[in-house]
Amino acid sequence: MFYESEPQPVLRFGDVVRGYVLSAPQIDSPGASPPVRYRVEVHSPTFAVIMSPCCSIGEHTLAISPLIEVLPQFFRNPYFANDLTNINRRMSAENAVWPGQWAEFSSEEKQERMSRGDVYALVEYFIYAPHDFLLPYPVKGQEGRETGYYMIDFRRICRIECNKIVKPDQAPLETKVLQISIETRREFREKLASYFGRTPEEDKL
Amino acid sequence: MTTRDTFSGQNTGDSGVPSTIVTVPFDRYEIVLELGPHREFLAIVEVRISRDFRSVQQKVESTDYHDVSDLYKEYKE
Repeated sequence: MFYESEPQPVLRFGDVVRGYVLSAPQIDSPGASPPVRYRVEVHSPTFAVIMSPCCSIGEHTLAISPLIEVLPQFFRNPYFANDLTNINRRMSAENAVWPGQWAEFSSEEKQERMSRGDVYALVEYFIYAPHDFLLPYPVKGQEGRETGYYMIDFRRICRIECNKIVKPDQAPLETKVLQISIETRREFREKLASYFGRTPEEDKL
Repeated sequence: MTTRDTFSGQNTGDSGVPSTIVTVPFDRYEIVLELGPHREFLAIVEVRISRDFRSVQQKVESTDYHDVSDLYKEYKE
């Protein structure tokens, strides 16, 4: 199962939480010291996900990322549409695209893609399965389709500071909404590690 | 759980209960589950040994990936 049926009374990596604010500074002219034009917009997502590893939750600091709607384009791929959490796992090259797109690839490109074996696709995203607490929403541009899947985008991780966060079990536990299962957390940890662990093409020997 | 992807409904004339097949990795095994329209558990379809024999360390060190993100950005009906 994707979620733990009996969440623990501690904050954990991957927990869905609510009641936090996020901000992302926008700088028009980076490089100037101090920056001459910048904006700080603050927003409060309905839900966010704890991105700090369990052992690193504390000292008044927490890394979180907003829980956002999935990309409508995901549903174009039947392998994803059947269960969007398939995006969280390694997959074959053929499953990473929809059949029409696969058919457009040349034989050489198919061979090159298949030679990678089962690896991650859509490396920036981790999908959260539907749950009663997560309201379904209409999929943009696809009339009649509704989904309860949500996702996080690893590029949108923010840091917050809160004096109430001392240790995982000394924290505002009333903000905790859902806890993912051990297996889901393992998948989450492995995909996040892989996201940061990619070697740039120019660094490959 | 009652929230779900409501698009994959039945075709006209279908009489069976619509279900979804989900594969859940568990230790060295993969459990194939059948879930109902509200993602409720219906049955265990299959228990098989995972063919991915790499350790966690080996998995993390495997940094190759399918570069398909751009294909999913600009799609319009």
